[in-house]
Amino acid sequence: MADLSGFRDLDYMEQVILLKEITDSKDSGALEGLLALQDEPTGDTAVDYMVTTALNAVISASEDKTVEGLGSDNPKLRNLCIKACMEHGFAKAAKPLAELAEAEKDPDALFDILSALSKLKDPSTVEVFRKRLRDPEPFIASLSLETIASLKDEASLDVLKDILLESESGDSYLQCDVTTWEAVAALGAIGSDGALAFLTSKLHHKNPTARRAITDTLVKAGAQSVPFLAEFFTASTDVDEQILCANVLGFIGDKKGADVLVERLDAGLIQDANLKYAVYEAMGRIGAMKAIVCLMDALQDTDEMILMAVVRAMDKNVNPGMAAKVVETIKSGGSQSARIGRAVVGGQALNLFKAVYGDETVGSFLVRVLSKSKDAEVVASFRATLEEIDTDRAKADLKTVAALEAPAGLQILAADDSKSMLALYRGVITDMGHTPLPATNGAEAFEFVEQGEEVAMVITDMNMPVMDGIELVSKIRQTEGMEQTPILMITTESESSQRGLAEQSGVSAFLNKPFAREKLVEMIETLLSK
Amino acid sequence: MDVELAKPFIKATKDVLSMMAFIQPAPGKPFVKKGNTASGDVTGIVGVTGDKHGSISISFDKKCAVTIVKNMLGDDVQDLLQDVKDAVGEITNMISGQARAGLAGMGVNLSGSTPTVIMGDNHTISHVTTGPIMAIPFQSDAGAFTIEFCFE
Repeated sequence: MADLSGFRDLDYMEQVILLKEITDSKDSGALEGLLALQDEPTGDTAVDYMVTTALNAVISASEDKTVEGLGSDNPKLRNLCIKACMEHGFAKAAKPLAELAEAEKDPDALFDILSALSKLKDPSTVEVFRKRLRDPEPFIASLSLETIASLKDEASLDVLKDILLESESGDSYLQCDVTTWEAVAALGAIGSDGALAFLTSKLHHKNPTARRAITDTLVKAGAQSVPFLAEFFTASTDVDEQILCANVLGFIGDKKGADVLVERLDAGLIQDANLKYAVYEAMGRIGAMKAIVCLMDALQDTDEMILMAVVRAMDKNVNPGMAAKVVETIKSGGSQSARIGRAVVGGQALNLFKAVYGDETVGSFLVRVLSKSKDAEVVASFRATLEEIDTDRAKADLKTVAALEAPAGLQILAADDSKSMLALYRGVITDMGHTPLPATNGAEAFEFVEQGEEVAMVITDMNMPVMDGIELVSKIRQTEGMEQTPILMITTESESSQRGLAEQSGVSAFLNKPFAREKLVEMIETLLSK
Repeated sequence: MDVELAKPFIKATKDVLSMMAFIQPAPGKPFVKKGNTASGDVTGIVGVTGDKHGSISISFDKKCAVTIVKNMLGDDVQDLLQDVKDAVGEITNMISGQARAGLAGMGVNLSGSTPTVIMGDNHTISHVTTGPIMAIPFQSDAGAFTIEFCFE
C-alpha cells in the first residue's frame, strides 16, 4: 500500500515516481492521503496536477468504491465520484445519483449530478428529469429535455406541448429559446403519433427558427409524418399553414403525400394562387404518377408564376407522355403557348426543352422565345443544351441565339429558396436591363454583400432555410453603406406578427404573393428611384 | 444541442472575467440562432477538435471590451486597439483552456486552436458548421457580450 505520510519531505523526482506508481496501480489505500494533498496543495503545479490525475485513477478504479463515494460526507470526494460516474458511465450509480439530485439545491452542483445521471440513460431515473423539464434554470431544463428525448419518454408529451405553446405566447416568439428547440427535438425523438400530430399542428410557429426546427423534424420523420400532414392539410383553412404543409410533403417525397394534394386539387378546393404554386412545386419533388397527370392539366393555368412552378416540376420528371402534352399545348397556339414558352425559357426547364425540341414547330418556337431573352445565364444554359443535342437544326439554332454579354445596369440581389420564384425575379431584373445576383437563402445572399458587390436593391423572400429573410435584412442594415438600400420583401405571410418583425428589421416595402409581373416591375422602379 | 458541453464554458467565462477583469457577468436566456454568423464589435473565436468538433466565440460590445482592458491593465493602456485585441485574445484563450480542462474531467477531450480576434464595429464572422448555434447573452456593469457555441 502506498504511504503518503512523508510525501512533502520527498524530493521532486521521488514525489513524481510515487504518484505515477499510484496512478498505475490505482491503489485505493492511497485515497485518504491523496485527498489530504488535494486539500492542501504542495504549490508545485506539476505535482499538484499529478495528484489530481492519481486521485481520478484511484477513484474510477472500482465502480463499487465510486458509487460508495457518492454517499461520502466529504464534498470534494463526492464531486470527484460524480465526475468519475460521468466519465465512466457506472450503471450502479443511477440510484444514488438520483437521490443526490433530489437533495441538491445549488443549480451548478445539480447540473453536474444530472449530467452524470443523463449519461446512464437509465429508464428508472426518468422521473428525475421529467420534473425538471420546466426548471427555471434553462440549462437544467435543456439537459432534462435532452434526456427524456434519449429515453423517448411518452409520458412527457403534455409538458413538451405546453413548452411549445408557451413559446408562442406574448413576446416569447421573438427568439427561439434553447428549451423551445429542445422540446421540438424531444417531440421528434419520441416520434409517437401524438408527438408528430402535434408538431404538424405547430408547423406555422410564429418564430422562424422554431418553425424551421419543426419542419426539419417532420421531414426527418419522413413517411411516418405523412398521414398527419395529409390530415392537417385537409382540415386547415389557413393558407399559410397549408403552404408549409405542402412544402414539407414535397421535401419528404413520399408518394402517399401526393395523394392528398391531387385529391384536393381535383376537388377544386385549391384556389389560392400561392397555395397552388406550393402544391405544384411539391408535386414536382414527389414525382408520383398521379401528380404528373395533375401537372399536365395545370399547363392550362394562365398565371405565369404558377406556370413557372408547373414547368419546373415537370422538368424534374420528364416522360414521353408529358412531352407530347407540352408539344400539343404549345401547338394549339394563342397566348397560352407564349406563356408556356416564357416559363420553359425563364424557368430554365432544360430537360423539358430537350424532350420537346425534336418537334420542329415547338423547337423553333422555343428558340424564338429564347432569342428574346436578355438573361446571359439563361441563354448560356440553353446554348449548352443545344450543343448537347447536336443535330443540324440545333447547330443552326445556335447561330440565331447569340451568347449575351452580362448586362450593365444595376446589380439587384434576389434571395428565394424557390427556384421558380428566383427564375421569375431573374427574368424581370434582366428584362429591366439590370444584373441579378441570385441566392437560394439569406446566407448566400449575404455572401454577395460580404464580397463587396455593389447592390442597388434587394428582393428577398421571408421564409428560407439557413438564414431567413428577416435575419438577412437586419444584417444588411448593419452593413456600412447599406443602411438606406431599398429592400423589397416578397411574402405570403398574412400574420401581422411576422410583418412586424420584418418591419423592425428594416424592410423598405412589401409585396404580397401572388403578384402580376408588372406589379413587381413597378415596385422595383419606384424603389430604385427613391 | 450538447448543453453539458456549453455549461463549462459559461462557468469559465464568469470565472475568468471576474478574476482577470473584475466584472461580474450575469447570463441571460440561451437561445438558438439560425444563421451561422456572430456579430459584435470585438470577437474572439476558437476552434475545437477532438471528441467533438466545433467553434466557440465570444463577442463584446465596444464599451465592454474597453472596460476589460482598462481593468486588466490599469492606467498602463498604451495602444488601445492593440491592447483590446491582446486582452480579448488572452481572455478567450483562458476561457477555452479552463473549460476544456473541466470537460476533460468529464471524459470529453478537446483540443483548442489559438484564438483569432476580429475587430470592427458590428462585424460578422462565420462559424463553420451545419448545426444550430446556441447563443448565451450576458449583461454586466461594463456592457454586454454574447457567447456562441456550435458543435457538429
